[in-house]
Amino acid sequence: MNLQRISLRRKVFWTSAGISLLLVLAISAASFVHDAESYHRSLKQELTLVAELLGQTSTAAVTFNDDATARELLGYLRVHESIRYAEIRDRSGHVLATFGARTLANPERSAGWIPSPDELIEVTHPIVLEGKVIGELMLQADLQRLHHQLREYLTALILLGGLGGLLAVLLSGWSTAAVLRPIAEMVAVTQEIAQGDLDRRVQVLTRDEIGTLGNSFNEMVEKMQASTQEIITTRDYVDKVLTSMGDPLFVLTPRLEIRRTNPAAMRLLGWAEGELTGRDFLEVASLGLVEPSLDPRKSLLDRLEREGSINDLELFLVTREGERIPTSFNGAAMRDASGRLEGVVGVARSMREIRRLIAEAAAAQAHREKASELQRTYDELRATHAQLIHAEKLAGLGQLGAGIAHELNQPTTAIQTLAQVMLADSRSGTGDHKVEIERIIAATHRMSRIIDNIRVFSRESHFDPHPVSPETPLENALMLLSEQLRLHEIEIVRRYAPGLPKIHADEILLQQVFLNLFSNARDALDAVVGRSDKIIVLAIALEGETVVYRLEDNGPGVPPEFRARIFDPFFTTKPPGKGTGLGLSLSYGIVKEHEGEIGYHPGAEGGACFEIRLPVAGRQSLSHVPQERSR
Amino acid sequence: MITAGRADDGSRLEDRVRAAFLFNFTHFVVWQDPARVEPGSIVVAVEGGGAVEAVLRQMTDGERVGGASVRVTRLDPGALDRCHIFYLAGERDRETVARWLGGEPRSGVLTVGDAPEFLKLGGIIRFYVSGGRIRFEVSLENARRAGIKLSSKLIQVSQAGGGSDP
Repeated sequence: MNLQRISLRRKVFWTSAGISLLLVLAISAASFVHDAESYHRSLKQELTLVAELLGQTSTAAVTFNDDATARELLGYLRVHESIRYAEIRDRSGHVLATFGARTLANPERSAGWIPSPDELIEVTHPIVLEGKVIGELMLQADLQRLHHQLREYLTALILLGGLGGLLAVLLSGWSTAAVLRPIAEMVAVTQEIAQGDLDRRVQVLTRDEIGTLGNSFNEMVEKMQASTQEIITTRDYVDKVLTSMGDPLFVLTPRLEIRRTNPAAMRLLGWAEGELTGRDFLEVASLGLVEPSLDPRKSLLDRLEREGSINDLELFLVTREGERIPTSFNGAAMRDASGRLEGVVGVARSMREIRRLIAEAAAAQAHREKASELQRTYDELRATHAQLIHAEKLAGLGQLGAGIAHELNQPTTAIQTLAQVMLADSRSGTGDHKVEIERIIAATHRMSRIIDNIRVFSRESHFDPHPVSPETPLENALMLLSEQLRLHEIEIVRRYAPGLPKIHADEILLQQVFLNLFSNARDALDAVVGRSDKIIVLAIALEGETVVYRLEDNGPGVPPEFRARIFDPFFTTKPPGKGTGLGLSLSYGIVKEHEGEIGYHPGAEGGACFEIRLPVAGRQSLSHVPQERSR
Repeated sequence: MITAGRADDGSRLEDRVRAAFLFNFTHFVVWQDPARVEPGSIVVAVEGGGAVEAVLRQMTDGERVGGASVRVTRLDPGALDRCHIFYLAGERDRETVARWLGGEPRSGVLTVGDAPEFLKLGGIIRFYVSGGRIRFEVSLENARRAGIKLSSKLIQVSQAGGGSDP
């Protein structure tokens, strides 16, 4: 029988009933034994008393050896029903008198509860006179009376004991019921509470320990209700937080089994609720950049153990369909109070979107680069187009110039001829106008040169290099602009090295380069207000196999931020209408065509200094194929 | 304590029994006049019983009764007052008894004798032989008159002597 399955009520009842019964039994037995003993003792005492009395009375009879009196004295024992035998002896053992019949049965006590009726009790008492023993009295009694008494007593005791036991059992039952009823009620209430009805309370009727227990229980239930509510609230809150989280969350056991996930995780991985719980985390996750020899579980756990957390770990989550989603995993170790690893909580942020964005950005970047290249191409094309237009314009202008030059050539020749006639006439005639006529002739010569120059410059030409003195294109350009430079009060300083070798160049194209540079210098020097010493220094030097031109003005120079772009097409710092932005760009192209270099650096006076380096004739590349160029 | 007289020991045994009886009477007798035992000794006077006297002397040598020593002596008839117990041995005639007792109980003296009319002549205890054994009888009246209290046990033991008034 399993003790634990017996109800408390039965336990208490049987225990108390058993104890009561045992108690009654024990008390009865003890009292019986005690009483039997005391009955026995009192019988013996009685006998002793009788012997004592008789002994005293028989003193004289013994003293005077009076057996008749002794017999008479013993005769009084007749009234005592228990006494079977008695005798009086003197000191020498001579029996003076006897009473009854002597039984030789063993006078020792039997061991039973109730002495046998035949059992004998023997008492011997000395007969004393003046302190001297003069004889003795012996009494023998049977225990018949005691036997009857004890039997009656035992019967009564059994009856009373039975009654007492019955009463004890009844009392136990009653008290058990009385004591345990509130407990049973409490048990019923606790069962209802256990089934979730936290509003139930124990009814407290008494003010004893059970009442206190009931009150404590109610208090406990109230606290439990409060804390349950708190737990529910907290759980709901945590659930809400987890549910609202956009990133997949995993709560793992120390062995990396999934203990809990959130809807985001299930959405991402395609598992239904509950299907992930209990699974090995490494079934749905694999590490990104880990050496294949490493055990990923050990690697993760070691890292958690060592650093307490995992930050930005590249982790692939594997969906139900087997798709590998790149994520950035951040996890932290959860530890219990003793610091032992209790689990891991981690959030895996999907990198799919980010990667897509990065890819898009990269594509956009590539697109942008392509676009910018297109732009550049477009710009170049546009520049070329503009150049073409400009060249067309220039060609038109050249044709126009050639036409004008041709038209002007006739009258100029006529003026020249007439002036020479007039001069011849003046030599023969009056010489008042000789000087003026000579001036007219000089002017007409100059006009003829200019017209020739225009005609040369304006003619449609190809890149046609031939050995040229380095000074020629520069001087030709100066000649075309000399009047302008004079009007703008710009002083020209020439520092030509002597004995310069020829260069292999198309002098018309180079002249155009120098015209551009002079024109820029003029505009730059004009921009300086109130300046009186406007100077352009022209230097030609030979550096090895290279002829170096330096055109330096003392104007404001090119600001540093524009220096890199001055050779770009259409780049100009001049006000609209003043420059095309093509001058330096064209110059650059022409110099490059000559296998030379053109560069800018700030001048010594703070002005602009353009440097053109051209190879000496016969030193330029032989592979060079002259290109057609229209001017 | 006392072996009753047996035939083989003859008169000597009888004397010894008488002596023992005399001595033992002291245990069962109270002298009502306290002055009688004042001296601290009980004086037993024996007249005419040499053998008894001799045995008695032997018996009482060094014995004490109720704190008092017992002394055996002889007296003149006129000096009976000086003893506590007086034994007149032998079956004496009336005159002799009367001479010793003076015809009435002597105050303060337990008088014991063998004479047949001893009690009638004022004695208190008389020995006699019955069935070969020595017995005694007492006169309660004489004892009362002599101022001597006899123990009930002694009276019980004495043969029919209780009321054997003269």
